[in-house]
Amino acid sequence: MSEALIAGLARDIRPVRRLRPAWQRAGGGLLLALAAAAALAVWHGPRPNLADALASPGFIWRLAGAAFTAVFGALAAAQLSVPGRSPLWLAAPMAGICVWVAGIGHGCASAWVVLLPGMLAPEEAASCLLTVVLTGLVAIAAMTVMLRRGAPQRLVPASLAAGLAAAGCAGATLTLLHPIDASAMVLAWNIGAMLLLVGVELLVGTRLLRLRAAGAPR
Amino acid sequence: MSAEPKPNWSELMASAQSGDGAAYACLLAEVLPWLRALARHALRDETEDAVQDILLTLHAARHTYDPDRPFKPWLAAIARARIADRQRGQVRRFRRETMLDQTHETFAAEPANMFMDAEALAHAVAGLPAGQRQALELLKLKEMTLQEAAAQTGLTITALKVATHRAIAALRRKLAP
Repeated sequence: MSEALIAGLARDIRPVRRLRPAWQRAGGGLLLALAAAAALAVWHGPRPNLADALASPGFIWRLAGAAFTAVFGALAAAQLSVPGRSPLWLAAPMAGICVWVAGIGHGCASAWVVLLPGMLAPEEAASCLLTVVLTGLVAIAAMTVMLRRGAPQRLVPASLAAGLAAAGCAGATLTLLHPIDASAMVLAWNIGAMLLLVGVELLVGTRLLRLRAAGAPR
Repeated sequence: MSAEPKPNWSELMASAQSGDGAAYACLLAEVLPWLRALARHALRDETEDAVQDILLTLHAARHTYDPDRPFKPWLAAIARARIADRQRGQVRRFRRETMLDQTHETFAAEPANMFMDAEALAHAVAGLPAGQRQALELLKLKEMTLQEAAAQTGLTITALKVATHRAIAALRRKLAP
């Protein structure tokens, strides 16, 4: 019965190291993603027309939106990995997503550029994919480790927040490194990266968290 | 005589995080009635199993508790999650399993398997409503499983069980001496 279980748990108890505050855990995860992005930037170099791009409102909105999504997604994931925290934390990265999508929409509305064959060289397309995969997967790995250190009771919201953080990291890196200004490609790469990384985190991340939860008590 | 002050759950949990077994035992004993009430309210059975799930999760997740925050919301979130897991498990088992009821049982003893006038039985079965007759034929005569009969007829397992139960009750009334 439960009384016997209580006696056993109390008899065998060991001290534990308390979880660090959410902002520290989120910051640690984001630093890893930033390191991956920095390594990519050194290897690939920034986009050729970065100075011109910085003068474009659509570019600024996309970059800021992706960065906010990354930061608040990571913070929300860190909060949601602790029992009893408000589920409203999942709303935190949504504001960043709105800004990100507004930036994509601004580019499409102001100058819709039809996608023409050869507009993006295959090497550049492969490089874009590599950027999304590398930064996204490093961010997903960092977020999943952070979630596993916690004890999320609702796996889907926590994994969704982590996936959005990874998508934001990949989106910001993509925007800084690659000159994909053609409207349809901006849409495809940014939204595609978001859907891909959120999907990976929901599928793989939740499975890893369930395995962790099914393990023996400490 | 003044009453003993109620132990502070947050303080007890903070002590337990440091490895204080006595404080931990006191805390868990304090919360046990509350957890049982929560589980009893949400689940018809498996209450004690749910309580033990909650205690084990509390133990595994104790490093996540922040002593600067109230203890009860933290524990309530764990309790809700474990109770929801049990409820989902109950729904899955209900869908997968066939509960035995009286009509599914049979006995080896000779008197239980009475000789039946075959013609009277056939006449009684023919007189049943179509749905009851079909359920009886598929489940008792052709010995299909509930899943197979449901797939063939398009009826739910529950509907088949109800139809079979009514059919047998009706036959009992018709064939009673």
